[in-house]
Amino acid sequence: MFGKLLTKFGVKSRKGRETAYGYVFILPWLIGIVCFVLGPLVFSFITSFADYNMLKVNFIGLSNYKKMFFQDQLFWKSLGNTLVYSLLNVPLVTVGGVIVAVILNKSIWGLRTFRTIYYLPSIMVGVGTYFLWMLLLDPANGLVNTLLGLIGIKGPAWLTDPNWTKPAIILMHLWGLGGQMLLYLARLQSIPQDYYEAASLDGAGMFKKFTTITVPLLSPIIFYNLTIGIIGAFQVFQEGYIFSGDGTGKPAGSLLFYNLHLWNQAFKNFKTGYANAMCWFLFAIVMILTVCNQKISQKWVYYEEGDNDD
Amino acid sequence: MKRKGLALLIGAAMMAASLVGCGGKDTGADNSTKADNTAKADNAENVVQESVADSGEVIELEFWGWWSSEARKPHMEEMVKGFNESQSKYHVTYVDIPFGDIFTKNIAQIAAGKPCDIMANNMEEVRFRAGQGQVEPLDPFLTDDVKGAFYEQYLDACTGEDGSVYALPLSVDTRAIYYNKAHFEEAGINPGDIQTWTDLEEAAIKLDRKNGDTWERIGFIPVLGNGGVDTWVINANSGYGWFDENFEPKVNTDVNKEAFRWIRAQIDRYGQAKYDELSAVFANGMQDPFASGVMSMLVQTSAYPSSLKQNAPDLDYGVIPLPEFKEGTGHVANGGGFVLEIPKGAKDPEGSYEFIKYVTSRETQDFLSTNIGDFSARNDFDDSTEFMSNPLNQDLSRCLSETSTLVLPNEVKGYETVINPFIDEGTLGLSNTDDALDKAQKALEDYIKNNK
Repeated sequence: MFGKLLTKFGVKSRKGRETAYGYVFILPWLIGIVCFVLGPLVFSFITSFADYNMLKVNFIGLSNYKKMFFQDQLFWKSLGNTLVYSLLNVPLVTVGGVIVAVILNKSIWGLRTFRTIYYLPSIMVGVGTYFLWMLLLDPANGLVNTLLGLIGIKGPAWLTDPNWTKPAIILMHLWGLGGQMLLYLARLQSIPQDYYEAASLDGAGMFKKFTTITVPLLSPIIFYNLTIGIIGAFQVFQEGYIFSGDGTGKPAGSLLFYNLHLWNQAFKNFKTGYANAMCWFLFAIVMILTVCNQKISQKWVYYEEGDNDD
Repeated sequence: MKRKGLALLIGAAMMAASLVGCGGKDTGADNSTKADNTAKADNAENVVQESVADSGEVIELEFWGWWSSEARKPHMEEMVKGFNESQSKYHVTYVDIPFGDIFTKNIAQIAAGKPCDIMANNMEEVRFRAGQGQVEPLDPFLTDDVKGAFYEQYLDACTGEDGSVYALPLSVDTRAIYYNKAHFEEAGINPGDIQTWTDLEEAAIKLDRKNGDTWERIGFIPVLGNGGVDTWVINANSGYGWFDENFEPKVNTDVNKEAFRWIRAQIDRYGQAKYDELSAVFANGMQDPFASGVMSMLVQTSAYPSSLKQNAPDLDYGVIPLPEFKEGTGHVANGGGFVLEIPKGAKDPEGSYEFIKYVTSRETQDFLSTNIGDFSARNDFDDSTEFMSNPLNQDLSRCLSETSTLVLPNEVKGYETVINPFIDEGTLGLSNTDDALDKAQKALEDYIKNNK
């Protein structure tokens, strides 16, 4: 049937037919992308120039962007909160992931159990995890402050003191670094032991071997995690939404992240056109950072195949 | 060339499929042709509905709410069943959707032109939703006897800026101070003597119990439970909070500064660490310091007794209204409630209204109040109802009579996110309360200016 249709359109060669079948096979996904990704993407870009409340569209030119940069009192605050969180969270989780992976790559007693324990939190997702952490971070009876108390430190009011809310979230993310750790561990296990043995013969110590063999060979994975981590950090939302209780980013606006502010604009104030403008600004930031990261990576990411120019 | 043609053909097929997929979506643009078409489609649909009704077939309606617990859902379903059995034209189905999702789903369904038929929503923002074009007016169906059955302030909250009524109150709430009777008896306090903020502070000090550096019992902290700085500011201003009667921002007035200093002094008596600790306990929801006897008094809403019934069934407690800031300023509390409304584009507004009328009737309200514990906005909901025969409910009802349900103009929507960070700074002791209010005043003025 389809063959006849192709013949009718003059597609007779084997290569041409294979191309046609190729397109047909990917058609559902292409339709999906156009309908559910590209369509909304274009629509959100167009309505970012409009006073749009999901029911009415009134084009207002660049007003949303102007308001974003010069009039919205919470725009810069929410962007600042997100930047601070990203700057602290991404490096700490990345370094933490590498350290844990290197430790769990050694032949230590109970290795499999430790690997499972470290990986387990990364598969625990959802609101339940946040409520669990609210209990762990309770200033008087929480496990975190109880443990700190054992070594003579009086723990802070993690989620009620605005100076400690972001460190609290980062602590929670460090708990869930098992996902990253697994990727590092997989790579570490594929590094030939010959490299380390040769380095030992040359008199290299533990640290030297770590910095000149382990880190360069892990660098593609570190680069991947950094890229994904930066994108994820700028999209932080649930933590602010749940820990602040009412979605306003309390205490003292310290948990008002960019996406939470954006969500409030779209679904509480129904300034959806304005929220779309915020989305596109966030897209620009993330895109610029990703491109910069890509460019800088050529200086420090080592690909074994020697293809360092991509 | 052929390959290019083929790619174009498939591309065109893809676009056509996409357009078909998106065909049902109405962007809501102000397009007269589209509006005409929509109107024609609506008329056609109404004709179909009418013919369905005439033919004796039952019209299916969906009622969206978020009540899914065992304490509430069975009663909501019984109420819906009661409506279905009371007539034969409509059949309503109760759909419970989680609180975190229901409002975004509602607006998405309205935008898609396929909303539910009856929606439960909050009372404070009826006017805002009406202004946004999200709800149908009830005026074509509303009769004077139905309108006259509700207290004026609640019906006013359900009225849009254009004067049309867009919802009817399902339930209302207020705030009051719950007190532990055993603690009061032990400290020799008569609850009726607490008439002013000064009386309240003196009672709290009598109730406090400290062992060395450890607080064993907390008399009262005004901004825990369901009380915020705004609760006390509204009380001090006899119903107006951060705005005056002309909706001009009045955050840093002398009255508000005095009120906030008083709040701060109550926190300081116990220390910031104790406040942080109790604040975290309320936030994680695992314990209730009032139910466990750690706190002797607590500001909570009128829905609190149903929670205490589950968490502390043996607790002996009573209720007093919020005291007056100064003698004569009134025992005013801030309150709100929930309404039933018809989302824009609902297929049979008349049927939806019939259901709303049934739910807000005196008999159904008594059924809901008795079983769920919510208060009614009806003015004929007096002591003769089963619910009001309970003395605690009578006390709460008296608080309800002094409740402010101030609905702010649409242009200041979202102002809390701008001023609350400064108010928090004062509450958390990070800045002087007077300075916090000055900064909040400036922020609110800027917000109004930027949103004009």
